Amino acid sequence: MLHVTEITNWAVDLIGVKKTYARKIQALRGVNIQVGRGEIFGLLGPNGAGKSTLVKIMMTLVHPDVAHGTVLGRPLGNRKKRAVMGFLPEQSQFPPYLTARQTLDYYGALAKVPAQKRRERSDSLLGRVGLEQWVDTRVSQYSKGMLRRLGLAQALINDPELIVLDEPTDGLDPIGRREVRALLTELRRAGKTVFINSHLLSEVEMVCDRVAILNQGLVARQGTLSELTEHTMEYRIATTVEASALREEVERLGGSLQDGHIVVSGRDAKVVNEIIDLLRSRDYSIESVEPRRFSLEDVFVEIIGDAAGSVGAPPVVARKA
Amino acid sequence: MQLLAIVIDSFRDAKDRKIFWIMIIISVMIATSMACVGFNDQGVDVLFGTWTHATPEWSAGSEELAANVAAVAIEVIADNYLGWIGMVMALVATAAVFPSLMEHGHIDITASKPLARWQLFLGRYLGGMVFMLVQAVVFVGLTFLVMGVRWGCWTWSYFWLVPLIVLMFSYLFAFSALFGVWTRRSMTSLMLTMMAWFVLFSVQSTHALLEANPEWDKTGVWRRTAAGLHWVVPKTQDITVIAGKLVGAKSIVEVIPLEEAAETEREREEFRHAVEGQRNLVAELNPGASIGSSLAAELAIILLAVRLFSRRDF
Repeated sequence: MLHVTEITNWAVDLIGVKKTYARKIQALRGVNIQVGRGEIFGLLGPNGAGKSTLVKIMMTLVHPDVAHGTVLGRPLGNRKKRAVMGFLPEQSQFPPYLTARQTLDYYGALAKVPAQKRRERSDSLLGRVGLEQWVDTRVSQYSKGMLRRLGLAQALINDPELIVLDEPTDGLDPIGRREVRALLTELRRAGKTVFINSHLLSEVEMVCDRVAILNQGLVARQGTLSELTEHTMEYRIATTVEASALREEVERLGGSLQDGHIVVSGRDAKVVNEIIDLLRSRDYSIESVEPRRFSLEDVFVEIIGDAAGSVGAPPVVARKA
Repeated sequence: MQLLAIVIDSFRDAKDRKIFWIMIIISVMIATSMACVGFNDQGVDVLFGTWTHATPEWSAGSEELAANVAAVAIEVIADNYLGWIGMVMALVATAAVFPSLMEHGHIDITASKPLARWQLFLGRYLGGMVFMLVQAVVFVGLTFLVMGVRWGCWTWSYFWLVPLIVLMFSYLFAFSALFGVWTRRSMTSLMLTMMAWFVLFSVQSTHALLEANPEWDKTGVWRRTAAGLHWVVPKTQDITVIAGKLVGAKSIVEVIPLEEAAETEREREEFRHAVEGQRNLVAELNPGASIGSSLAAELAIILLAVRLFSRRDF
């Protein structure tokens, strides 16, 4: 069921997206996601979290049970808006009898790109993704990495405003991954909105402005990278002599001893100062006080860990008695 | 632009399969075989004078030759090609049109483009029809040329076979599309289509038998049931009769004087009955009603397939 909401400035504004598949498997249980125009947005989550379902609902490949919201200011599923959207699915399979150039021409035609523009963009895009030497080679002879590159070119053939990429670097070597990251940055500079679904946290961390972590069909956390990581900061205090004798007092103040360091979880500097005062009063020399930001991976593990034992197992709707 | 792109791609998909070229080769072989048969003043000439069979009614220039040739073309070539060989091969060649579209990775990209699912379906469906159209044009064109050049029979009405072949294929391809969308597997869809064809054949044969032998059904219940079923299904068997009507051909039992060759009165009676039955069949058939009701059935099957395709999650 689709409802038109007010026109927002978000490129993607999804509210309460729900989807239950056959056998009562609840893939999405009311997902709310907002993606700003011109930003690179990362969707993270463990296997079975509902990421691919959400992406497919955005691209109208899957029919939602309930979905309010807009994509590029139009109700979700609007056909005209799909003309300015590009999509790279997790697995891209192209007609094996086509060459790369014919493939782009075909998908460009489906995206309503005029013939002249298709020709121009095909050549430049195939060059951009590093396939200029194989433009007239049949796709059946392409390697997995080459198919991924062609998939990227296909997603950009219509010069889209919103590009949805499902595991864009899957199957690419490290150089290919770096090229993709550079391409994504280039797209952001050109004012495009990029929505990435990925399980590679380090890659997402490198390019995304904002992320959402999906778990068991719900958004567990959403925001900028700094917003997501600031609440889980810790300080590590190193002393010249191991402070194990002060364990009880340190723990009473809110710290702990780990690997010979005093660790203070959270970003409350007051606790740090109290521990420093304690150390000084006992004549311990402080070697360093290091604020440590948690990586996205730490945040991810923390969130997914909260739902321990249920990772990868989508919830099932309870049957009525 | 979008629809044309899908039609072209769908045709390319079918053309990429070996069976496309096998069908072309078979058409060439049939035309070549026909070219090996000629007609001279004495009668039939096989392998360019290697063997001659004296048959006055088949001699070059005789008035009966054109009708005889057309009858043979319809009864032997078109009947078999149109009736089953060509259809089976075309169904095999196009069985993957919908399952291949719905493969993961392919449908994800295609269905995300700004076109409605029914347009995508229609494009693929038309692509399958274009495949059959090309095969029909090659087959009919080649055999027409042989009949004209080698036999001197320029039977222009023979080209009616092209739309009829495509029409016949469309009846069966609707089932193929439905089963392809439903099962997403080429082989399963092909088997189910063959089964559906067999059901169509059974319904039509039962109807014909009960109509020809009303005494078999005293109450008339079976006859009415068969007539009702016959009305709602695509009438594949009518196509060959319509083809004969349009081409202006006589049936083979009318052309070849088998009645004269019969030795007993009973045999002669059987031949007369066969000729009469064939004439009645042709006379009673209303092509407009047959094709119209068949197309209505085809449309219903297509709408069901479109509904399935449109509501499907990929």
